[in-house]
Formats: sequence, structure tokens, C-alpha cells
Amino acid sequence: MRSLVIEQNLRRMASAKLLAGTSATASLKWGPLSIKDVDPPGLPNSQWVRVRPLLSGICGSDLATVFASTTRYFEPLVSFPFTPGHEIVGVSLDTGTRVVVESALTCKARDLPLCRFCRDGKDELCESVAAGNIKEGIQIGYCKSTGGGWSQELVAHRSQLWPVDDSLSDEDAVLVEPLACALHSVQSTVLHGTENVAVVGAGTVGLLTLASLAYLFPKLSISVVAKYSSQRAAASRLGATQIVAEDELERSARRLSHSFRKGGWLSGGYDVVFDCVGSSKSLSSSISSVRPGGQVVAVGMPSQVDIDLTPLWHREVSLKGSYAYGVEVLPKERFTHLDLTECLSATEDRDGQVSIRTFDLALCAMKTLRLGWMVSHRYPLENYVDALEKAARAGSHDAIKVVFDLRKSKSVWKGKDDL
Amino acid sequence: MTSRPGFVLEVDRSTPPILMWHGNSYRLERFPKGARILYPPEPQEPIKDPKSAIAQALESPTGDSKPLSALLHKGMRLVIAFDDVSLPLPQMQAPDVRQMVIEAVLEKAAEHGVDDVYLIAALALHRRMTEGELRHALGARVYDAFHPRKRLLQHDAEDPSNLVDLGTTEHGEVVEINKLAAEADLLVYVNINLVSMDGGHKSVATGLASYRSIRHHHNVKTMVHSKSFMDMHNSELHTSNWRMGRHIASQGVKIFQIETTLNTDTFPKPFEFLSKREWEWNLKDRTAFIASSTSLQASPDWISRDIMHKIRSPYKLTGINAGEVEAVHAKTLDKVFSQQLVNVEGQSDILTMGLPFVGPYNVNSIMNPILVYCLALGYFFNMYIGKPLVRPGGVVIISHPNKAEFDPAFHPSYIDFYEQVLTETTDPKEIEKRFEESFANDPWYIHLYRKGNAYHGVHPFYMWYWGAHALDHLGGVIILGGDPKATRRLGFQPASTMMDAIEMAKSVVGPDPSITHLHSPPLVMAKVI
Repeated sequence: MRSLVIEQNLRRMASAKLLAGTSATASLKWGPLSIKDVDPPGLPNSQWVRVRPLLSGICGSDLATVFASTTRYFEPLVSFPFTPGHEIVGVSLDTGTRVVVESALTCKARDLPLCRFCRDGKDELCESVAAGNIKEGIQIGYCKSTGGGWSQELVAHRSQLWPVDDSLSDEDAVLVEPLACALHSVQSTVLHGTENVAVVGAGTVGLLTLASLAYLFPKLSISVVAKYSSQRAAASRLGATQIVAEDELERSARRLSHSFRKGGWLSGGYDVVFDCVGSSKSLSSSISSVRPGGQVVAVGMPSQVDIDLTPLWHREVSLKGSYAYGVEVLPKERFTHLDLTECLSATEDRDGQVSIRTFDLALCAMKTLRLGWMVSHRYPLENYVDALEKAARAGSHDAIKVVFDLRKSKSVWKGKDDL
Repeated sequence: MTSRPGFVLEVDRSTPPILMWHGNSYRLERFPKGARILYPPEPQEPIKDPKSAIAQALESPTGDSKPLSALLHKGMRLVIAFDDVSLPLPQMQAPDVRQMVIEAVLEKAAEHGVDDVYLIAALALHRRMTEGELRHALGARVYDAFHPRKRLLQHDAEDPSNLVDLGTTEHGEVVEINKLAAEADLLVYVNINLVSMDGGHKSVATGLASYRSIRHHHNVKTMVHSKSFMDMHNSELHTSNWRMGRHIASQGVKIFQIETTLNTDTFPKPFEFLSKREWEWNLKDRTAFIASSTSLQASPDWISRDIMHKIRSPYKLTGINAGEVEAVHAKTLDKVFSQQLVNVEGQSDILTMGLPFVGPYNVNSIMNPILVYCLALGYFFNMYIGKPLVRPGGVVIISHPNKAEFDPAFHPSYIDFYEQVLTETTDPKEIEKRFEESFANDPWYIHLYRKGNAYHGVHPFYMWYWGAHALDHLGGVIILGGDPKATRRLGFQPASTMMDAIEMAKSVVGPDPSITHLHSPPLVMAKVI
């Protein structure tokens, strides 16, 4: 089958990193990613099924991997060679149903007893990303054993598959995984009493964070930092209260909170700032714009940064990360506007707390949000250079989510083309 | 020798290129044949002995008022309020007319044993003046005598302990003014009437008022119905101020109004070609133009701005009247009009104007895009009596770099207005409805207004309302040489050359447009008939 594959080749990784700043095409040509004919991954055991991707998204973390701009932190946590792609809507070759893949490879997927985090529904903190009967890999798309979405086939544990309602388009469905990440970051951070929040960045992560905030907390005032006009339009469509330019965040924070400012010191600011860019500049700006005692959440995968933490220290700002998804606990009285009756995993305890898997919540939310319009560009696998170039320059090229469209590719198994 | 009146020149083949201001610099532009250039009158002859004229005005009051000496007595409290740094423009060469008048008033007060005297800069919602500006306006002698004793104050429209509510007018307008001034035994107001909008009841009713009071006439509705606010008889702004002024008088506030008028001798020797008609430029003028415009254009903005703001105008006193507010102001207006008014036949399709480096609200500072908007559509557009120089649905072409540069000390709320309001809407009514309250009550802006040198948080809104009548009237606005992004933020179109701008304007006003160019400064006012 045809598959994009990343190999552990230090020379190629160094070339990709070196060339990424000048030419994306050259960086891809000389980088670690290539298209190959490979054997489909084998099924680890009977709990696993084959999935044929229909659409598979290109995420910021994928780009960081392809262009080798990420740190080497993840290297021990992935297994080479691997096929990228963890935002996947596909067809289960076992049942023939359309599914989205909860790609995190946690204890359950690895057929291990649940670790302390997975037991508590905090799957995103799972201790077992490098254990069990499959190779290392934090998610499908980083694991040699499973394959990934940028191919004609992958394998997934049954517990990772979520059936897709017929009312959702493939485009809606491919955004369920990143929406789940956004819902998780938002739900776990926005506390009772939060009034003003800011979302820094209006790429896919930023926009989905905005959509999640507007969905879960419709009364919030949400400011969005958007660089490009298409991003501003998208943010407006998704319910941003205010859209500001890159260098306007601190002033907008002061205005909104009616606070005092002296140089870089601000007496007030946003209750929470979601940094969906992860650069030195965006994180510095986020820390300066949040109120004393407020929270800055790194939602997108940050790079290595150089920031002045004095305001963080002096204003007792919390900086936290937000990764993936698990189980969300929603106090029912705060979310009376949500209809969670269709969510498969929702359970309510005696205190009125509704527990629900984030992925399930994302699927329910998608029925309301219908975010498929954010899929702006689709490419066949063979055009991966164009696709990745477009995704790398999404904002300036009026693109939001770029995906690989595998709906016309043939099945690697005889007689299964119609699936 | 009498000065030559202003006139309207019709451009023909022999007309030389016309000087056009462009922010901190200026350039020559050729206008199409048939375009009209409105030239200001030459400066009137000044009063030869200003000191005697001032003394005479104080003792021979106008209207129903006693002479100043008769109003002064031992043991009384005298408050002298004076116009702030927004007048005159540019600042005049020393001695400033305020200094001359205030020294004369203080001498009279001393003669009558009055020693409880306060000076108050009538800021309204403007920024506080700096020490240098106060020294320049009042002279070192007055400054040094009053400031150390805390008797030189600047009106604080946000100080509840020093505001007094005098009730409301018959139209329900709140009249709240400076308590010290209102409760004085005599309030002397020293004014400079550079344009016909200034003075009269506006001096106290606006200059010494609070936001709560000022908002009754500084709003979109009032400004749209002020046609123009340079013509008080057709200005809702003035009608409201007159109601308030009369109400203030009815509450027992005793005001002795002193109004002064200046000629239009705007530019000192090295820049005097800026006041001349181009075909009368001699070799020295041409050399001065080339040398100054070339160096100003080649200099970084901060240098050219610094050079221009150091200009001190050789303005001279042409008139002084003192006494009862309305009678004084009637005489003042006659004098202002006799200096500035020019008859113009009919409106044109396009009005062009070059904006200079300074307007009322950027003295010693940057003219940001909101002030560009206000100077063009608030002030220059309104320099008319009768009808605007441009027809309804016509186009104004403004020459200015219009860069998105702001002075964070003087104009902090302008930055937020530009970034957070104008990105949402440019409609004055919507801006007023959605944003004014929040900016006006922002504690940080109030703090910076009271303790720093910042304009009040609501001030950029007033700038925007100032242009509401023009926006209502016009079919389009083009900024020639304006930064495209900043120009579009204002809701206008940028053009790189005059010919481009005229071509763009044709799409609004049609082919073969009539064009009038406002050749100002020096100040000129059109009586469009």
C-alpha cells in the first residue's frame, strides 16, 4: 500500500531543519518523509481492527515532525519508521462502519492494566506510552506498529474507534480529534467565575479552542488574536467577542479589564489565555496579558522558547500545558445548555457531575458546531509536498485545515474497494 | 497699509504648482485647469500698542458689565481661567497673548488689594499642560508667582471634590463645572479666539466642565446638526453651550469674559513662503521651499516633527473685548470673520486639503490617524458659513502621510480606539452607542488624564464625532499619500498621486468634477454663496 513514512535519519532530519526556513519544498525533498509502498501493519491481537482512512488531517505537531523543528524530546516516545497522521476519519474494515480514531495509545489500547492516570480518566497523562505489546508511540501516527492516517490503511484498538453519525460529513468528522483536544484544554481550565479569556492564534488549534469555548461557555467574552484576514473572518464566524492583531493583546487585556498599566506590568488582564501558537513572542504576550493569578495554557505544541518569566513570578501567573484528551467531568448545573443525552459514554454521579469521554463530547459538539467548513484544502497522498507546503503556510494562504483525501484510493485488500 | 483680502483663484495654464501641506512637510501639486484655489486673506494690521488696548478693554467693558476695577475689592476671591495649549496653533511667539492679558488683570487685582487669586487652565477633557507650555502661555513671572503656592491649577474634570452641580438647563442638560471657578467672587476668563468656534459661553460651559456635562453637546446628534460649528447661529454645539452658559449665569456665577483675536501671521521668517501666494515667491522663497521640504522629507519623522513643532507663530493681537460674555463674543466674531472670511461662489464636487503638522490636540506631539481624521473632517471641512465647500455626496481629498503612530503619553485611549473600535466599525452612532461609556469610565484613562498628560479616555470619540457632519455629507474620502492600512482603518481610500486621487473621486462624483483646494494654513473660512 501507499504510505508516507518518516524514518530516523539524522542527516535527513538535519537537512529538513536547515532548509525549512528558506524552502519548504527543499526541506521536504531532503527531509525524513517520503512516500513508499509498504506492507499494511499487522494486527497485534483480536482486539485490533483494520481502518481505511477517508480523510486524514495535517496537524501542527505533524509539521513540526516533518520539518524537524521539534525538539528531540519525543524521539524516545515514537518508533521509527512510522506513518504520520492522527486526525483520522475512516472505515472500520471489521464492521464497515465510518469511524473516527481516538489516536492516543494509552493503557487500554496497549492491553495493559490501567495505570493510575487512566483509572482516573486522565488518559492524556498515561504512564504506558512506551510499554505493552506494541511499539513506542504516544499516538497512532507516531507508532511503527499501528501505521497512521497518511496511508491507505492503519490498525487501531477497538476502544479507539468511535462510530460517526450519518449527519456528520467526513470533513466534520476529521476535525473531531483536534476538537477533542481543544475541548479538553478549555473544559479543564475555565473555572467558575471566569469572564474574559483570550485565544492567541487563529490557526486550526486556535479556532477550535475558540469554538470549544463558545460551545461550552456561551457567556464568556472571548478575544482572539488573529494575524490574517481569513483567520479574522473565521474567528468572527465562530463567535469571537473581539478580534485583535498580534501586538494588540496586552492593550486589549488592559481595556477589557479596566486595569492599570505601568510599562510591562498590568494590574488586571484576561482570566485565562490559551496560547495556540507556542512561540517565545506569543507566550510572553500571553503571560503579560493574563491577570495576576491567572492561567496561561499552552494548547498547541510549543517549540523551544526564550521568555522573561519575571511577570509570571511577580504576578503569580500559572503556566500549564494541555495535551490530548481523556474523561471530562462536567458539573451539570454549569452546562444546562448542553444536550448530552446522545453521548454514549456520559454518566452522572450523585453530585450531579457528568463524566464523559472527551472524544464522545467532541462528537456530540460537532453535531452542533458543524466545523467541516474549516477543511479548506484536500490533497491526494501523492501530492504530499503541496499539501504540507500549504499547511505550513496556512494562514497567509487563506487555508485552515489541510487534509489528505484518501477516499478515491483503492483498498489494499481485494474486493474491499467499495468500503 | 491694509492687508489684501483672500480670494479664489481659477487655475489656468499660467498657474504655478500649488503648495500643499503633507504632515511634517509640504509639496507642490499641479491642479487641473479650472480648479479653484481658496487663498486666505493676508494678516490684518495688528494693534500697535497691545498693552494700552488691553487696559482700555478691561476698563471699557462691552455689554452689561462693570469695568474690571469696579468688580475687584479687597478680601474677594478672584479666579482667572485661561484657554489651554490647544490654542493658538502653532504656539505664538512670546509674549503669549494670555500672558499679556493675565498680567494686566493681576496688576488691576493688586491695585485693588485682591490677593486671593487662582489661575486655572481650562482643559475640559484635554491633557494637562506641561511646565514648559504653562511657562510659555503665562510667562515666567506669573508661573513662578503662582505655581509654587499651588495657585496655578489645571481643571480636573474627574475630581468630584472640585466640581459643582449647578442643576440642569431647560433641555435637561447637566451643568457641572469647576467648583473653585463657580464659587469665586469673580471668574475672569481669558480666551484666544483663533477660529469662530472658540469663545463665548463655550469657554466656561465646556472648558471648565465635567464629562457628565460635556457629553450633552459633544455627541453625534449634536455634531451632525452643527452646520457648521464654526457658525454659531447654525451650530447645535453652540446652542447647547449657550443654554448652559446662561444657566451658569442664572446660578450667580459672575463671569468677566476677555476675548482676544489674532491676525493670521502664522509662519516666522524662515517659513514665510508658506503664507505667500506661489506666483509671488521670490528666489529666497523658492530656495527656502526646496531646502526645507527636501530636508524635512529626508529626515526621520521624529526629527521633522521636532523641527516643525518648534515653530512659534508671529501672531499679533488684532482685537480685545471684555465684559459680558455674549456681547463680547459678538464683537469677537466680527473680528475673526473680518480676518478669515472669503466669499466663494457655489460648492464643488471635490474639496482638496493639505493637513499641516499640528492641530489642536497634537501640540508637541504626533498627529495620529484619528487626529488626521478630525483635523480634516472636523476642522477644515467645517471652515464654512452657509454651505460646505463641497457638495452633498462629494469627495474630500486629504494630503497627509497618515501613519499609524501614536503618542502613548498624550493619547493612550486613542491607541485602543484605533485598535479596538475602528476595527469593529467607523459609524459614529454605533461607536457612540457601543464603546463611549466604557472608554469614558476606564479608570486607567482617568488616572492618566488626572495625573499624567493624557487626553481623557473619551477624547478620541469626540474627535470621531467632530467629523460626523462631514461623514454624513460626503460620498467619499481619499487620503493622498496616506499609509494604505491606516487609511483603510479610518474607512477611507488611499491614493498615491493627486491624479490617482481625482480619478478615484470621479467614480463617486462623476466625470469632469469641479475641484476646490483649501489653501490653508494660514486659516481661511469660506462663505459659500
